[in-house]
Amino acid sequence: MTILGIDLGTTNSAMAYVKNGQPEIIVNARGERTTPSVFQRNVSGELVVGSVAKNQYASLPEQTVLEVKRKMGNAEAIHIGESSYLPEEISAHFLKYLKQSAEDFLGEKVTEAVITVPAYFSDAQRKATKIAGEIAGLKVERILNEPTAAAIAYGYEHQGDEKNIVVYDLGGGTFDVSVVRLDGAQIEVKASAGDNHLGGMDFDRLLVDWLAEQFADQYEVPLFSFGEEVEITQRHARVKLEAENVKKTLSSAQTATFHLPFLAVYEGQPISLDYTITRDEFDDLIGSSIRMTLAHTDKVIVDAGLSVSQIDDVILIGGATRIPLVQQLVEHKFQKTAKKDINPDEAVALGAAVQGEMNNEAFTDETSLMVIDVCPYTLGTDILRVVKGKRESGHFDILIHRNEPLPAVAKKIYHTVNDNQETIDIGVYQGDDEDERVRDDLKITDEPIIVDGIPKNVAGAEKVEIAFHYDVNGLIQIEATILSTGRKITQALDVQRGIMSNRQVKEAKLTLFEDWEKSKLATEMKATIRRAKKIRRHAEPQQAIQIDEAIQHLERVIQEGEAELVKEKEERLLDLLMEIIE
Amino acid sequence: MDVKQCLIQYRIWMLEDRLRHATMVFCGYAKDVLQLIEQWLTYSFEDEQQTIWLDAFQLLRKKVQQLDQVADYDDEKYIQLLRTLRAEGASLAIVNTLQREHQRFLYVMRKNELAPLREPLRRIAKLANEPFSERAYKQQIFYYSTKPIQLIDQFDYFAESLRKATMQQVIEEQLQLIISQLVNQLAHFGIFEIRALGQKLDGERMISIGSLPASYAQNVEQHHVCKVYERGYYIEETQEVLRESKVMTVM
Repeated sequence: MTILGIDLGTTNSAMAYVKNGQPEIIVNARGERTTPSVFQRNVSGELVVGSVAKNQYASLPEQTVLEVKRKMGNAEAIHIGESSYLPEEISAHFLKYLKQSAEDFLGEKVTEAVITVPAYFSDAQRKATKIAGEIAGLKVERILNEPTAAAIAYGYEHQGDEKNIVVYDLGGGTFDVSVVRLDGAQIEVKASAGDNHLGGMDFDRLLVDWLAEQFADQYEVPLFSFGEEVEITQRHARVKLEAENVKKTLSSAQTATFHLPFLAVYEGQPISLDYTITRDEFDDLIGSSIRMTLAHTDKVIVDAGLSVSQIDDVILIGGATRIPLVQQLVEHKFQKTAKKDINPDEAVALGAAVQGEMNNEAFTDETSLMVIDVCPYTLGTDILRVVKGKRESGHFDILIHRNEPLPAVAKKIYHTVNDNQETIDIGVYQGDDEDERVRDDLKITDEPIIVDGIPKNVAGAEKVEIAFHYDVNGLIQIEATILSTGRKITQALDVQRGIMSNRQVKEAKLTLFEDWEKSKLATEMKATIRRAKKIRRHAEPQQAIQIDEAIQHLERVIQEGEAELVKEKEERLLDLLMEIIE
Repeated sequence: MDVKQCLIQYRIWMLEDRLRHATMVFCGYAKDVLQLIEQWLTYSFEDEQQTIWLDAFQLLRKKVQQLDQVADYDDEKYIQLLRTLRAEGASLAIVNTLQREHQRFLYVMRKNELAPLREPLRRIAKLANEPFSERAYKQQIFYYSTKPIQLIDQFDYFAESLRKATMQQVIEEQLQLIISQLVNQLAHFGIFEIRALGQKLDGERMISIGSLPASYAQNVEQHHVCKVYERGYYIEETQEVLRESKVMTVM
């Protein structure tokens, strides 16, 4: 049984499996190695994902959801027309599409997967990702940190090495950096950091701005300020596409030219642009952003308790690491050549596939790796402190520090603050090591965990031990023990903000199945409708009307999702086409 | 080279030469079109405006010249290959089939007609007992058709610029007509334009770059294409999209 490795990305997703002991990428139904993470209700009311949805985005912005990964774990529904979806339901559609593509590719059912998430993902975000998998009909074997997955892909090829490696991941819209310890067959993430809003798309924007500046210098008018709205939109689209090309060219050449013939007409004069940008100029544009990533890199090395000289290898992943300045600055920092032998767009999915296979019995001990992850954020509770003789609530008391290896267990003893106090409320919060106060938006528990049954006593006399257990999949369990009586209260944080109940998951599964069947039906009918439209072009006027009617009937029943009726209407349309051809 | 290798080599040359021939036919047509456009520009504009537009027009001429640099058809290599096949003991059926294919191609080339692409390749693949690679076929078509397609883009951009410069409607229509004929020449590559204008938005074959208020195109339905900013193309024999149309739709 194949276990899929899935890189569920912010802008693109990828999937892989292990074939003959080697991880390999699986192409989607359109033959693409990566699938845009775009979800949409199209003009016919069908749900579509991937490139098709991305291609239609500019016309249907209100019916399209981009970058849903940023909203994972959030209970707020996303509205598309009259329907609303939770982020995990939308992610489930991506996963279902990938699952379906994998099944078509492999010719067998796929029911298990390892899904990757950013290292900084919270508990709720991880659970939401797991639920998305469940809705899509996948048993999620493991939620794996993305840098860990990349390190596995690397470690799989370099088994037996003992090294500290930095995984530098600069994608389209996000940056992550991690320090990973490779120790024989063991992989341990020591520390992670990053910037959620920095990536290659920012560099495209900078290039567009650069071009606009050159234009303004030459023509003394802003490039996107004249002409009709439609012209400006077209102009912007052309410049943006050219900026992407220029960026790619600059990865292999010292100069690149914005070649935009007949881009506009200004004061009756046709304007063709031919501006050449050198790699040095491009480097100046993006330099500050890249240096910012190096600041994060410094922080992560310190967090890992290491120095730059103790880093043995640097792995570059994410499409934007193809930019020479990125490679140059990273290599200069570490005084060594970065490893580029893994495809930067595919490393995470490949590593996830290897992790999936490790759980498979067929995998031999010699080829298996042991993975140790770290806690992506600091965890603690809110307590009351006496400051300058005054009681102050809302202080953040840390139990588990960021970057502690998983599984992690931490215990602390607290005491009552009032005479005859019979209950204690425990709130669980995320935060940073430096935080002194809890932040309500980082509270993990919707309702506090109530420890009751504390014997009546004077203030400070009763003690309660609180223990946080954090497992490898990022699941948290809280245990409170009243020390005087031995009474224990245990609560797994199942019902958290943004997490769906079992009933909701079941319902979402059913809805997804129905939506999927409907979309499948519509896709199957597309070829017939296209053929009908082709024949219509050469048909007599009366025949054209008949074809139009038959197409309309077919489209209407597709909307209703009744498979039998669709088949009936399709047959009727095909009969009509046959009659016309004959 | 054994018989099988010879057949594979023949198949590679065959597709390349047919596509190269297609480029030559296309280029010849583009040159005729250039002459027409130059005449219209001279006729439509006066004084400084005429100079400006004729200068801009030189960019198109340069692009056509770049496309014209295609190697001549080399008949000798096929004759050599047939000799090798005979020497390697290829069956009479194989030698005859190749000779027939070659003669057919020479005939269509002389007549400037459409040379079939896929079917002869499949026949040779069968002879070589080799699977027909759709991927390699698509790659070759993509490679040879890219420049002609880009050239059509340049003509389209030029026409769009002229439109903004209050071009006479009759000239605009004629210009559109000759660009359409240039597009039709892509049939030599087995490629056709994706019909997009007036059609419902279809992300399989189109990329939207935005939408416009209904007032802009009152006779076009909501979510239907009211403007094609860049033409899209598909390979007719496989129905595969080579490049999506870039379109704008009605809000």
